[in-house]
Amino acid sequence: MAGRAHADAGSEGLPQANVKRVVKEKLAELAYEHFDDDRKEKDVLVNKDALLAFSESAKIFIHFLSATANEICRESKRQTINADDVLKAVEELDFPEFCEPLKAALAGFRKENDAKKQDSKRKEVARKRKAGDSNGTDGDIHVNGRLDEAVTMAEDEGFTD
Amino acid sequence: MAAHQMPTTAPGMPHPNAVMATQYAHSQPQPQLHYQHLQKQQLQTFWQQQIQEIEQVNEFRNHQLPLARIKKIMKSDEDVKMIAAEAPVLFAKACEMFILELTLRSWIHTEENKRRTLQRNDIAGAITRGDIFDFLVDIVPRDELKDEDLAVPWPGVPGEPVPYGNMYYPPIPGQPMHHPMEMMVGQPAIAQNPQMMYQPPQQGHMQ
Repeated sequence: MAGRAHADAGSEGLPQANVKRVVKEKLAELAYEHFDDDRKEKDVLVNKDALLAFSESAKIFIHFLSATANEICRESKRQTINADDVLKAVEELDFPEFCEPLKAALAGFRKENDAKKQDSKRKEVARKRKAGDSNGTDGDIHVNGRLDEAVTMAEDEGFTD
Repeated sequence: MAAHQMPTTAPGMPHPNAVMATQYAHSQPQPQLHYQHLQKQQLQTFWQQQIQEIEQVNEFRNHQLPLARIKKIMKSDEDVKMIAAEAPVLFAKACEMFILELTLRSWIHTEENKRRTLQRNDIAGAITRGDIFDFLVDIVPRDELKDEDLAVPWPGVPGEPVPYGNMYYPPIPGQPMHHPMEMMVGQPAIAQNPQMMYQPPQQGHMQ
């Protein structure tokens, strides 16, 4: 795009297809909600330049939000940006309406993650029991004690990026 | 027997649908289509519900925006060091909501100008209205804004005040208006809050 100022040329942006999908779905929804006539079903078209502008804006938003979250994180004398930092950053940037949906997304992610962890721990315990049966375990599934142990061990190993 | 009641069934036909089908088959050929239409409706409803359920479940699994790419964008800022696994998930959601918000506001601009195509200047218009998009002011420079954004009265709509950014400017017939904002060409239209000033990471390619 000759002549157009790039706010930052350093990083690659979001994939155009994804951005386009988000935009077009929203426009279709808006057309459906706001019109009673044939405009209801008609496509609202998006200029190619406009799509680029959406992508660029989204990228700047990510930079802005992560810089803010990073500061909040540093202020708490931590090194790793966590979910709380992000939620606080969102409020600080004046998007408080995002907070509730974000919390819901977080809860869903955690729930799903916990389910995955429980699942893999169970498999791990079962595998270990098969391998080291000299521990005297009987055929019944008395997993309670051992499962707790396995989970605690996993948590101690930490979980960072 | 009332007209709307179904006749007692022939023996061996317990299912109401089957009864209906039989009844219809015995009367005229068209009701067969009616039955098929009902079935089609039921199937449609069924599949709509299925899709809704799938979408609800997938809401947390399938993100619209890829997490890996988001993380990459975050890390292109040198100051950002470590990111918990939960963070990109929130960023993806926040970013998606941001795009939705920007789309909505841009669409309003498109609608106000009675166009069917959302253009870059609609996004510019959305950015200049309200404060929350101040950090985007550099993305679409003001010179991109077209005449329609400078409160020029639309031809064919004489005498009506033209709304612009919550303020109304009575049109001067026959003359393009000199909008007070025009004086600020070359500067951001909205005073920049220093706290909101954001310097994007200045660096070369980070892979």
